[in-house]
Amino acid sequence: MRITLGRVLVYVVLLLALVPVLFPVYYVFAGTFMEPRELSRFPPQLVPTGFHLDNIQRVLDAVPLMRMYGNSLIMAGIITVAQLVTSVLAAYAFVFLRFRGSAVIFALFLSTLMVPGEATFIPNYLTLSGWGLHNSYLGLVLPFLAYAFGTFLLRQSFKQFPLELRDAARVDGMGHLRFLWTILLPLSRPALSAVGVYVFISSWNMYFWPLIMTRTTDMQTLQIGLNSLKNAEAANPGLWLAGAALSVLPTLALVVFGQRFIVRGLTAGAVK
Amino acid sequence: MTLRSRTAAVAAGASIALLLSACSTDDNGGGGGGASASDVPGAEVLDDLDQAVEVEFWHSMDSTNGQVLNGLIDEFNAANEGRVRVTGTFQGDYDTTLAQHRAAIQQGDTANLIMVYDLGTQFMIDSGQTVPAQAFVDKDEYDTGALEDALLNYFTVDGDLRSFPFNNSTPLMYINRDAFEEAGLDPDNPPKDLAEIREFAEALTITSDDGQVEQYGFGAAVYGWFVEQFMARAAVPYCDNGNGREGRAAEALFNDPKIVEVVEWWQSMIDDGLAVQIGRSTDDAQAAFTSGRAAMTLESTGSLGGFLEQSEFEVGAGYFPLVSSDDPGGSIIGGASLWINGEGHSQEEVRGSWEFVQHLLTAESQSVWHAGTGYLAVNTEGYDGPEAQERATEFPQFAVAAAQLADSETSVNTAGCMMGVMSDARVAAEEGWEAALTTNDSAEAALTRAKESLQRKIDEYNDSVG
Repeated sequence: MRITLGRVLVYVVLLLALVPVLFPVYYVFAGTFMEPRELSRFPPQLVPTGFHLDNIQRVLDAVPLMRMYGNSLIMAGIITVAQLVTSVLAAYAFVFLRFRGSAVIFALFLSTLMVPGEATFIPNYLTLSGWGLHNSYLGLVLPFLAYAFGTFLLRQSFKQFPLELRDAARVDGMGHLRFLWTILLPLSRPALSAVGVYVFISSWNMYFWPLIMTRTTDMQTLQIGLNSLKNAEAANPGLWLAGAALSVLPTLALVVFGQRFIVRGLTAGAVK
Repeated sequence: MTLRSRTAAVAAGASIALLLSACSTDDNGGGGGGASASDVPGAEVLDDLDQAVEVEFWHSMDSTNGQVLNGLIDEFNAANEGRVRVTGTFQGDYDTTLAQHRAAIQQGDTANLIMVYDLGTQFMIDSGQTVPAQAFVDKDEYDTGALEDALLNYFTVDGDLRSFPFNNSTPLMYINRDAFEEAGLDPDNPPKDLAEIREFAEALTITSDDGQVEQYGFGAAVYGWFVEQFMARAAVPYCDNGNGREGRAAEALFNDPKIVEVVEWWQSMIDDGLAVQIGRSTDDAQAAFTSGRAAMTLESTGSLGGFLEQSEFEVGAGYFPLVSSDDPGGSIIGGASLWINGEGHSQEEVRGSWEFVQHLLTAESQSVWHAGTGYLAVNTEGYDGPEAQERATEFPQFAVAAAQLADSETSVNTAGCMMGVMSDARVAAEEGWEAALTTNDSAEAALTRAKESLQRKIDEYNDSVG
């Protein structure tokens, strides 16, 4: 590869663009290890003087963080698995089963994406609490078990699947489910990971739904625990940063290790 | 304590609450609003129970404050084994807790005991779910003599105590003592009114050679609670009909000449480079103070602990300023009180809730509460408790709030405005105040416009409750 002036310039610009993107992440972790006084200095101090663990200790004292981690994990886990299952089956039907009105139904699917989630909160809330699902895991996940975005993404990916392979499988006597399970899914791993990671992160970060559906501390998720670190009268940035650092770890890990798949999956349907 | 969050989630919470409460108004018209002492169960209902009665307590006390509260709950549960068992649940900030409560009313599934902030008082009365505090006081001939007058005054409506004050605070002025000394000012005599603040700020403001301001004399948030406090200091009512206590409030009065004076003063402080322009975020105001950028600020008593911990200078506290030196100097409180729900709850639960509240109000509990959180001791005997004494010795600044309240006359003007849309009123006052600072409008015009924009909400609320 030749190093040209243009290429150097591109990298310089990219590096500069990286600073505003990475700085907040850096500062969350730097601030976690600072003392309250270091954090309130002006001009701001960028590097902690040492590894002070007080903030983390105080977060752990203030909220039952492990229980909330668990709740978030259960909630996001169930939603992710369920959306993968429903999206895969729906996308399969749209691509491989030719049936009347499939285009119309698919358009209907997509149109649900246009309805903002906030607009459905009230009816969902009234329905689910009418069924007595208030403060239960089922109540937390039920409205999110199927979502059109995953179906859309997987449909785009399945459409690129070579039809010859499917025909060959059919000649060999494979039924729909067997073909789906043994051939289609293993070959669609990037798209599946992309949907999975996307769904996991967005349900991990849900705030309002878990807030109104839960009633007791042992059912609350991490995001609600985080908000409870925000004392109305005395702002304590160290505590917030430590809480944010702890809660962002799993999703950060997911993005770092799953990034390869997310990028591949999200662009799968973009280039024709 | 008071309305602070500006997140979208809370806005959504408010709207869900409105919708839900709109669905629910028809089935709780009368309710427990008129309960009297004879309806209140006595202690005997808790004798010989098969198992302890469960009391669900919804509150907004988080992190440190939540831990202190949980300590008090555990203490009560241990002492009442087999009788009452209280479970406290953090429900989010005050707005969210109230939204949760409104949703629960709609479902007929309210908690036994709920913490509601000052601004929700009129709504709680109108929703008719609760047993008025006065009924318990009368039934048990409970002595309220030791409770802080200013607080009783605030939560008493039509001569009846409606709820039990619990986590309450009052705004103060905080000063950077080191900066005072460097400027040759006496930190033990902080300024008392707006004119003096300006005088002090002129000495405190430090500008570097290149024209950058290194330290401002003053900096505080544009915060609606301060409007209420300034009006209480000047002894003018916040809304009509005797602050809504002689009849339903039909109009807000925050475009009073006193407030116009405050806003004009604020504007001139910023224009002359003596005060830093902060906007409506109290978090930002706190940061401006703890970082040493502003040498004087206005904040709640509850912020003192954080200030002491986060500042690299010595923090001092003084009374909240008067608008002009001849003001009578009342003081208003803020924060939340405890409401006992009657509708849909058994006699045992109601009694259990009341006994728990009594436990929270003892001098011993209040000493722990005050020392642990910085909130006022609702029971003034709490200040003499060992925990409170220890704290007062270590940080004499904590005594200022109690002294400010003790020094102020209680009247209808310091009792706070009773209005169903009080939280909207506070937002409107902030908007008017901020508009005066950021646009070319005069303070009077901006405040009057804000007041008019609020009028529709007041009318709608008053129509909806008849």
